[in-house]
Amino acid sequence: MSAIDRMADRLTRTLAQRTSRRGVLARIGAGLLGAAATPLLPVSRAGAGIPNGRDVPPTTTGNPEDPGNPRSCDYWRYCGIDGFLCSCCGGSASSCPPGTEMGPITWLGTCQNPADEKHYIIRYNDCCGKFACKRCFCNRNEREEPKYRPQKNNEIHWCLGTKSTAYTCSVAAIVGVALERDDAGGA
Amino acid sequence: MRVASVALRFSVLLATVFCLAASVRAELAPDPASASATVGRPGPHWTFYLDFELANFHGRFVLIDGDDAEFLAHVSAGQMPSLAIAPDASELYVSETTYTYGSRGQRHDIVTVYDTTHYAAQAHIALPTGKRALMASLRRMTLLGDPRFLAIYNYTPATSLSIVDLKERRHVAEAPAPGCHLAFPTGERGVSMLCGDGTMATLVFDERGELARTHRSARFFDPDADPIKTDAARIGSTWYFVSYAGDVYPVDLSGERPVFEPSWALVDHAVRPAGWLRALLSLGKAGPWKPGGMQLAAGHSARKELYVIMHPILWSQGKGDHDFPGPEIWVFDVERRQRVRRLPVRGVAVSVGVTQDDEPLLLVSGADIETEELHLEIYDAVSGSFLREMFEYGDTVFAFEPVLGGAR
Amino acid sequence: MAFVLVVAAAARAGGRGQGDPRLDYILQCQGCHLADASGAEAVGVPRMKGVVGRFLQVEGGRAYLVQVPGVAQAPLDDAAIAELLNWMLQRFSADELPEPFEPYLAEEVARHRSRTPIDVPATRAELLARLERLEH
Repeated sequence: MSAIDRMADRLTRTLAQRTSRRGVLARIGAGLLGAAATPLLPVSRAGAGIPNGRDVPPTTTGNPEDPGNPRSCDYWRYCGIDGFLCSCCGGSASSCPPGTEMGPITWLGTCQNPADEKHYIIRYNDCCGKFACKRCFCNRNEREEPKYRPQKNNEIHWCLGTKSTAYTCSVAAIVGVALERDDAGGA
Repeated sequence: MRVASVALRFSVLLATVFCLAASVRAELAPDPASASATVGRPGPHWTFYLDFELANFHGRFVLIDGDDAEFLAHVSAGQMPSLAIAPDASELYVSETTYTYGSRGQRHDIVTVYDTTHYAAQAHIALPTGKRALMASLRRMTLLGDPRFLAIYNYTPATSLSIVDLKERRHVAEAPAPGCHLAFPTGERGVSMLCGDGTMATLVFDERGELARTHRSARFFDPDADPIKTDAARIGSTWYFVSYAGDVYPVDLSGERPVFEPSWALVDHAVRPAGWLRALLSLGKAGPWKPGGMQLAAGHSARKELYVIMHPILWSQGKGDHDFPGPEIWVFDVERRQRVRRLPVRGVAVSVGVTQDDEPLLLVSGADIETEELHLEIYDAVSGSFLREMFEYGDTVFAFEPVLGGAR
Repeated sequence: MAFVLVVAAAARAGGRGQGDPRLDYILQCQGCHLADASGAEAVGVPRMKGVVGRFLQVEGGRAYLVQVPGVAQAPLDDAAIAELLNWMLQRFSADELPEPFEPYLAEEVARHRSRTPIDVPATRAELLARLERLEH
């Protein structure tokens, strides 16, 4: 790698950090915009179209092995989440808000924990039975696949087999470890 | 003080004189106690948009005239609705899911039929309860080539199609379609669905709406190597599926079975990532581009043009960016398989639509890069110039459905 | 060999176990069939726990288990599908397996997988009827 390539690489990463998740455009509706953003342009906080949790006070898991803010779209477990975060509406990253029902049927994916660099299997359940949380909307689509691969799709309303299909919010629960490390760089 | 008092007296006098004068002229007649507007024949630039309501995941279909961004009429629907428009634009069909007590109670899955003069519900057709697919997606309902029948895609997660006879106003059949998804009208009375192995299943119905036969196609794309987006654009009877990496897969659905045309590239796959200086100077726009967005593609049948939302890979990092919005719409001539125009939008586009007339409008659901405000913008589809914007459109503009000549 | 490892690691990181049947089950099947394979019959997800092994007792059953779309369309190669089926049958339905249990091999999976029927519910109903007759 030449010096210039290294600089380009660094620039790219910086742009990525600046533009991902909470960047410029939060996202839209039930499944649209991702983490959009534009590099090198100032980002104002005025008039966001969709509540994206930017001003919601952060929280932590209290566990250094599970780093990050579960009320932020950047939190490592949310790498494939699409919807409002239950952790902003009385629930947590893995539990539903009071009075809502966790849909038993859902999709599973993997996310890499930056603390131990392991890939964890994540269960993305929706919480159902009340209308929307309307806080902390996130749409990240890493390894997300179209509807003809429903076992990998985050735009499906995973309120199947619940008393009501009213969508409240989404969680990202750990099922186990999928891969010890990612030394192949193949995420 | 004194001056003010005189002025006050003078104005009272003046008002009295005016009142007397006015009483001599014709007064405004009282408005009728109850009145509803009606809607005339659709113009070439009329379009519906789906306003997706964040509070309850219900939706509204709003009819606007693209020529002045005027709100003409709307229908309000339940959870995750779908819209189909009769070919002669005389009726609308809206599939929706509601509960007796708002978010609780008994579930109802129905198709509501609206006339297009009063925009009033004319009929409610019950669907099998609890099966309608609830997902943020287009192509969950389609009129068949024979517009007497409507097909509704079910996902419980078991998949099937419900067939509604619009003449008799009743649900006539449910056909299983394991492993296959969404609904694309095919031939006279067929529906093609996308299956998880990269094939299409086609279900053909008879003149009573009952399943007559099924076909399974060969694999026409590789869902592992490069998945196709399901929000395809229609040009004539050919549907254009855009892949994550930027290829397009045309499928002709005019006959009883799908005919797969060779795929071709929307982007130059040979373009290498830009060096840092070029990346910086171009605000990230140097280097490869990719398609992305929600309703990311639209077609114009007469012009044989495909419109696709594109973004620079430097903005999205190229990972999980298939829904990533883009600052440009690229226009392709599908016969020459060449890009003919690049239309930059004011911010970034999330969803795109095109009217089907000779002076087409480009309808864009977009966002302002700096403020993050969501916009409904209207451009000249040929020149790309910005024409106007609709303010106070609702919550989120999810998709467009031009009234005339669009996808069904 | 190094290349194979890299590919396998990439596949797993990408949510595809490809060859580790427990992981493949979790990532490809468990979302609908649930961790204990009890399914959700009310919404059309068949129960496999204590049931799925019975299909091997009737003609057509071995092919059917390969041809259900969740198996046939899974992003796994034939060898991984064979391993996944063998693991599921023994894990969730050991008591119902015929004696001796003949495990699936990649070649058999390839043979059945290329002929996926579209009307799975009808095939399933027919196989269940055959099972019924077998038991009476």
